[in-house]
Amino acid sequence: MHFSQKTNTGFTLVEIIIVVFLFGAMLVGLLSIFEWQQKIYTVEMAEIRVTSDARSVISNINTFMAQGIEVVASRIIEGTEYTTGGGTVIVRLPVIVSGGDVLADQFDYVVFHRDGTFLKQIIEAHPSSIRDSGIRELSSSVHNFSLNFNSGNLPAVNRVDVAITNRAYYRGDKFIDFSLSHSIFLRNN
Amino acid sequence: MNQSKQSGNVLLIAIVFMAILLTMSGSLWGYTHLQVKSSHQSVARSQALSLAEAGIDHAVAQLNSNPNYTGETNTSLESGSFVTTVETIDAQTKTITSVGTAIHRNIESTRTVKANVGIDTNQISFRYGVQVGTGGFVMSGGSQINGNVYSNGNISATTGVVITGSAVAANPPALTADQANDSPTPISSCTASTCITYGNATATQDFAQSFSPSIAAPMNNIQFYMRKQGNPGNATVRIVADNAGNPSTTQFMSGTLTASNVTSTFGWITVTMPTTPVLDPSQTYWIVLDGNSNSSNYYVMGANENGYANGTAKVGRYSASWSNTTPANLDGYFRVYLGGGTSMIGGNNYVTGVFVGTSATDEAWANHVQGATVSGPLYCQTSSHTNKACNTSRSNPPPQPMPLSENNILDWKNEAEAGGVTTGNVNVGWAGATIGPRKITGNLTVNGGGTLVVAGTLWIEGNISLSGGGKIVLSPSYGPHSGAIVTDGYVSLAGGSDFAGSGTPGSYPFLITTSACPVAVGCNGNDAISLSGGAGTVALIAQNGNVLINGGSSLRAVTAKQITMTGGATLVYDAGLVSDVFSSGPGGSWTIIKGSYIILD
Repeated sequence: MHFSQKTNTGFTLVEIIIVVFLFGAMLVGLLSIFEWQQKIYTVEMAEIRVTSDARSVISNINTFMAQGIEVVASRIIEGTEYTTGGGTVIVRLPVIVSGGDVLADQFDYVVFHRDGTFLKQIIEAHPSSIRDSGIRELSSSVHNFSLNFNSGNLPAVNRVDVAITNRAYYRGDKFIDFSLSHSIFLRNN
Repeated sequence: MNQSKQSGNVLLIAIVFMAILLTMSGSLWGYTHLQVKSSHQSVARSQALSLAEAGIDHAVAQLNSNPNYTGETNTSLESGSFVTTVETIDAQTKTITSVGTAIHRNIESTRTVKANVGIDTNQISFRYGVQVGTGGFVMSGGSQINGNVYSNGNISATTGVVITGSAVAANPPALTADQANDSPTPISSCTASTCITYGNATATQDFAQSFSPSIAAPMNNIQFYMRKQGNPGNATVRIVADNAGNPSTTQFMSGTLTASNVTSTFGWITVTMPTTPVLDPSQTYWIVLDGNSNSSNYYVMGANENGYANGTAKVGRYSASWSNTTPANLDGYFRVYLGGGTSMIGGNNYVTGVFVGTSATDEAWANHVQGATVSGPLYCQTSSHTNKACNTSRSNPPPQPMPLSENNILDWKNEAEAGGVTTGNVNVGWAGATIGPRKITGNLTVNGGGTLVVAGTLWIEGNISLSGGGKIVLSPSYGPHSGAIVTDGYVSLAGGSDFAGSGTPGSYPFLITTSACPVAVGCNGNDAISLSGGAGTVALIAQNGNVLINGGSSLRAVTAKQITMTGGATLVYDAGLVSDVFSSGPGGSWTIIKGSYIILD
């Protein structure tokens, strides 16, 4: 009888309430931490994206444009006509063949073209060039992109000032901007 | 027993949540670390590229001070190091490969840049050992030239002087332009309405400008205000008839635009033209600059809108099609010189006033020859007191352009100034000195048996004086190239003064003055260059002034607006410098060959 009484003993209502309360408090705390960390994650991811995108854009433009022979007014590539000005620049490059030599009097063309929030790199490579033809998306978060030439006469341009601002949104209308600018000299002009 | 089984649920849930949070934190940290690493790698790659580019520029600079430079290893800069190798392709071309290595936050990156460098192929042409401008050649008192003379003015040769080679005197041009469109200049930067680019594509291969002369007179020369991009070739300058508002292919005369006279900055370039036929003032003519097209090597003509009332500019291709400029109402900057005087050789009323030539092929050629004994053909329109009659089969000889343009000289000045500025006078005595590249704001004096070794282009704003055995030589680093010494003042060479090149055959110092002495202010009776004995292997250039030669002298070449020889002077010179290569200035320091600069990885 004494044994039976002991085994049927349950939690009192107070005990249950306390446990539920403690459990709830812990859950709220954990969720707060989770949400806080989620916010940090979102912001950090946005910052990383705008920063790395901008660096990648400037690095790519610098690498190609430094080898530029001249800035070209317009070029039709794969049926699309690109025109230098505003957010687009077309550069004529020497063709590099395997072995690292230059193919005389033949050219590759590279276009950097802003299309909304996208910045694209379009390459038209000579068949013998080690460069590959195609379109590559350098950034999808472009907010501002400007190109300034040191001459109004495009064939005479030998310096291009490039400026880019990338913008990434998080939690609705909140955003992070990251800006980079660089002066690039066309070493073959 | 039941109580024991139910305990620990809260802890378990907490552990699960913690595990989830830790996993998320870990992946966030991992992703962030990856991105940061990628960012560091990007920075390292950029720094490595900058280092590799610095290596190329450094190698070019080293080559210009030491042509035998072969590269260097592990040259450290703040963010890393570069390795350069220089491979010789031929005497005028080398390949530089530069590998830049940067370490940023323990991440190493390597980039390779390769470029060919060459001596600028724009060589300065000195076609004549003795070339005289519009001031003409004045010889008297038994003076003698051992060689040929070409003058854009009279060769006044009297009282028994001797020219052992041929003598040619072209008609001097008028002093003012008959037709011109020449303001406003200078052009600070090109816009669509201030520059006309041509020679860069097939559709814009050639430039044309129409004009109408005001008088029926021989054409002497045309000037253009232009610059070049890259290294275009010479162009043919044609005077052609009009065909319904475009240039026709009916050509009346032609000359040559010498590419080496045009520099990368705007300046007036003179093209001499034949004096026949005489242009008709009732007609419209076109000046056509006919050359090749190359997208990297072309010309840019200074222009304005509606600047010239009697013509217009076009671009297109000679003997093919022409188009309006963009905008359509542009005129190129040009000057057309018509008229001028007629040339003469000699001057005495007896046949032994001047002896021209020592063989049957040495000729005298001018509009009028007087008081001369000529060994070979005598080409002239009229003559008197000559040993033979005029051979009138040739018209008057055309004037020849002077070898240097104003911008050629400006390039040398800029190069000298880039090496630093010495304020005041510089005196080189017995101990000698090595100078250059350098700008000296005062005078340069070399005397007391001292030797000045020129290690780079010199620009002296004051006067140059060599006396007392003073000597100027080029540094051995010049190798087979020539070097320039430019002065804005007058030059006095006396008392056994001497010049020499680098020691390698084909290397000569060029002493160039922009002075207009003796007629300019501040000349104090001095000539632009005064030479009394000595001089050695030097070329003297005074395109605005007079060179006075008194006494026996040996020169490599002499070019001046006017040359005067007196007092039994004898001038012995080497063959004309058909195309002399300078180790600096417009003759070409080592520079990157356009189109060869590539980034390999």
